[in-house]
Amino acid sequence: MWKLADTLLPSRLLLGTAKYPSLHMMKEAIIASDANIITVSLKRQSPREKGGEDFWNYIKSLNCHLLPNTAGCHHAEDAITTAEMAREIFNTHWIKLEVIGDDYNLQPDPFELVKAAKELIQRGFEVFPYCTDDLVLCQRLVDSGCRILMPWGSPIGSGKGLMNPYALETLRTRLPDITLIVDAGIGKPSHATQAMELGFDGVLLNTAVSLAKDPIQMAAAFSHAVQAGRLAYEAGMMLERNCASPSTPLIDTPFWHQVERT
Amino acid sequence: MITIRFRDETMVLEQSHSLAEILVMKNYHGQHFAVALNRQFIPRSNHVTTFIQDGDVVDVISPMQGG
Repeated sequence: MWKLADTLLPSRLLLGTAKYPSLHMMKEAIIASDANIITVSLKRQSPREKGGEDFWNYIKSLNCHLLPNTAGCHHAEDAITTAEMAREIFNTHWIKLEVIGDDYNLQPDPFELVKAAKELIQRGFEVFPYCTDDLVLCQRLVDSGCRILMPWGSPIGSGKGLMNPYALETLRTRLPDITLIVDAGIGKPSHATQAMELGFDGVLLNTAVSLAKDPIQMAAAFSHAVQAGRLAYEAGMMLERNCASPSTPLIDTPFWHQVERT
Repeated sequence: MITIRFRDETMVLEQSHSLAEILVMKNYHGQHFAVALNRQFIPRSNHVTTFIQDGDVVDVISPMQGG
């Protein structure tokens, strides 16, 4: 069990609900992932479809904690309004704060992000900011009252994995008391394991599961990957070295006196 | 007579109504939606006391899949 925003949870994997071939497949993948937190979003209803009811019924049946996002917002004010709506619809004060600064790589706008985070925390939200791995930005978010940070591994939906492990490792070192979750860019289970081995508290992903050939099996694979990475981090990994060191003790093996060739 | 836009459709009303009344007219009874009036969020607790004016734009926001 681990603690996230005062809530004890068994799983360190957070899963998105978008882009699945069907709602049924989404539900089965979430179950297979063992995730306790799923991300959701909001849309403006069009005249042709009332919408949202089927999805609502599916997510209710899963009994997961909901983490609504502010996807599509480019300004702090829009993100704040979206967060208020999400709080009413989903009955949660948790918000995954997304304020996008560039549409090409969906990189967060650090200035609007800090502005929105400050205001939302004052309004009683638990803010999960989707941010870059910039240390100073992350420190400013912490100064604003964020207890959780969600730096990207790489751009959303890119599947490139951890582009800058050094920066992520630095965040872990410099912000030891903050809950760190890698959000975005995870493409395969080994990426999730790597993040967890760095000491991250959790991993949030979506596309790597929903666009897999078999989303349900991939969800299970990510569940194992996150657990493996966390176990390894807690176990303490050996230090890397440049020279070989035999695993088997060589003294008294049959040819241990063999003369080295030069 | 007042004319408003409700979910991108034109609605002509003989008089001003509260947001709560408009929602009932449009058959919205559930809990899983939020309402924006002229792009501003109107909390559910204010639906009864918020009255629609000529030219207002009402949007209904609902849950969807997200990452």
